[in-house]
Amino acid sequence: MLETDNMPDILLENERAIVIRLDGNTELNQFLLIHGITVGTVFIMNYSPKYAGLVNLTVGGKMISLRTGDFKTMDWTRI
Amino acid sequence: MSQTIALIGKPNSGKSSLFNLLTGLNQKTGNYAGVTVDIKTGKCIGNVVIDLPGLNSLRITSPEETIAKQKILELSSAQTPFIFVSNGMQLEDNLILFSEIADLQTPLALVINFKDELSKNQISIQRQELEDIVGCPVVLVNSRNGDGLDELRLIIQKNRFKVPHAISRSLYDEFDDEVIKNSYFQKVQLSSDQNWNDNQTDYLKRQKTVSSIVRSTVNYLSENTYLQSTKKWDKILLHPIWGLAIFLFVMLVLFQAVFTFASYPMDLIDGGFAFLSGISEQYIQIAWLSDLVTNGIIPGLGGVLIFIPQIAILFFMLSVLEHTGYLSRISYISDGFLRKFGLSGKSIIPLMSSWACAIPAIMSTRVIDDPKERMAVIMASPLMTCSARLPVYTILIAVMFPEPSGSFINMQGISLLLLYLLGVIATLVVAWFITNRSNVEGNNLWTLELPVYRMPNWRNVFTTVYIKTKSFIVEAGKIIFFISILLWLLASFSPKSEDFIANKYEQYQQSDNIVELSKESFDLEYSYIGYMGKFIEPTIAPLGYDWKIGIALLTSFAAREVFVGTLSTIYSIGSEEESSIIEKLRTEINRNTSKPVFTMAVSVSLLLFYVFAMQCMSTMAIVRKETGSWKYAIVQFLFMLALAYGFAFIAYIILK
Repeated sequence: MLETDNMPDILLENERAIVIRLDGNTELNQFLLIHGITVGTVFIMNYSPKYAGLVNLTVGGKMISLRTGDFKTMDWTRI
Repeated sequence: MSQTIALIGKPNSGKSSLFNLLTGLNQKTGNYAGVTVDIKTGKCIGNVVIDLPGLNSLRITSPEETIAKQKILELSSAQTPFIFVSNGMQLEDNLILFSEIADLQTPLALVINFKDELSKNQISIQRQELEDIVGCPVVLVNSRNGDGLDELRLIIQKNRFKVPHAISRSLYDEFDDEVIKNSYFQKVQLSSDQNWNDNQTDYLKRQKTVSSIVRSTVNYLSENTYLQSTKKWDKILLHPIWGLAIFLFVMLVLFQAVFTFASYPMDLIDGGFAFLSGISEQYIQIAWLSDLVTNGIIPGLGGVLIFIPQIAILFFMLSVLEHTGYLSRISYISDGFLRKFGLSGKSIIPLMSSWACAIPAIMSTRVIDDPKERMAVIMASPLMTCSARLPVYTILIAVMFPEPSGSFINMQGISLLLLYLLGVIATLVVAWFITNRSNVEGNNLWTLELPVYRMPNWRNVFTTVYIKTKSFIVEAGKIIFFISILLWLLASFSPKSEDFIANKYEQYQQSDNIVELSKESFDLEYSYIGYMGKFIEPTIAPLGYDWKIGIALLTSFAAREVFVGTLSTIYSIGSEEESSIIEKLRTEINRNTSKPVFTMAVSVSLLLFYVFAMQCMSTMAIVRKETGSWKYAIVQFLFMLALAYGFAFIAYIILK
């Protein structure tokens, strides 16, 4: 389960969501785009163990880990 | 007619495995993204095949992907056929890049890899429909066993590549292939990371087109459970407790294998070279040539080849971890801790490999994306306690402390543990300093793709071991060999005549000196390296060292373990048995002061010197190779020397 302080919602394991806005800087947004994450991208939450400070998502058939801080720059809604 | 063909695709799509199968060459492969960092060339049915590094997009490229992008544009201008390799299990994601390549209007064939995983997951691709939509040949292959490869070879042989349809036509105002080609070519050439909105719009439109293609050509005959087993394994392997325990166990097995399994072939190599030395000494009649071969060339070669078992075993183990997909999980587990020092989880393997040897460790830093982080690991990892430091540590610790009392915990063991800890702390502090203070350009962007767990492909595993070992022998070996011979020359020749040295020795024997010395020890004192030892004596005197220790420091620049052998020669022991060296060092008296040489202060000072000093020319050679410049190797040597001198000096001043 992903536990964060400033996120209005918690995304549980295997839940699907869609990215609705990117609040990071251009460099980060470009970087996420390289890895197939942008507005409109559907992803599945895999896991985010507390000790790692990482979020693992399934995007486009790939399992990608992002730093929690980078993940927090994305606004998403559960689908 | 012979032509050039380029293999392109996203990272971890299996290009290198396919390249190896097509060309029969041995190129390193792995189950993680970014294995290919250079452009590789081979031959297939008379054609030149180029393997380009993987890239994610032509429009947005990271620095390491720029090589691939520039080469693709260059080859595209010359209408060079491309083989686009797509990971069949990530087809939608991979076809977005394919659509960009298609817009360059270059002859193309689409290869869908991992045919076995597609059928295992009951995913059926309507090949003919897909071919009709994209407008170029589509082949399904399995790069792990060569299934489907004959069909691809036929396309190459008969030159059946076709200029594809520009499948993302909706992106362009005019639907003319030539206009699309020119338009996209210009866009790609001019693209910069600042065109964020353009890039996003382009990506979204391509995604929409590709999604509709996949929907109409790919059938999922059952529920898609592709990642389910990987996720189940991750639950165990990334568990906060079990994951850490398994990780520690795996590391224990890895290093135990490096030390235990490598010791047998290393003993064989050592024995083999000792045998060869004996033969050459016996059969070469010319004295100087016999000495050169026996004490210069053969030990020089042995000094290179003796590392092969350790390097081969370490890379075998790491390669198995890579190919199974576990290596990425180790990076995942350690990322949080390493981040405190400006590093990431991708640094963990090089750092831990340094406990065995810094050479393979530095070679494995290529997995690190961030140039600043990679530089920090290259510069800091030789501070980790490598196996070559062990003989030096054990001898000096034994000189300092009497035999163990028999209890499980004793000062010898604690000292060794403290030295290892000091190495780790020094490594992390230096890495932190470099990532926070250096001018090397870096980026804070980090992502880690966790591949699915797979059984290792043994052919690829052994190929990796072969390539890494060969690279060590060829690149570092020639430098080690050269310096070994140089050291032999310096230790074997003297600016003084033989008569002069013989007279000096005779005078010494007739005097009332209490210290007994052999002729070999006198020869060494009057050799070029002996003079060098005396030359540097004023510099090392503040650390409590005499010229003899100075010689050992100079010779052990070749490799740290040479320290023990040099001391053995200097103190005329004639045997490298530890007990005799330890006894001699404990009782050694300084000829000038008549006081013991190896006091507690000198021993601790020497230990600290070896914790921090580079003292390994093969590491310097590898640093030069990996950074492409002697500048970094020299800077590293100097800062480590400064640290070594500083800590050794402080220790001597406090303890003397």
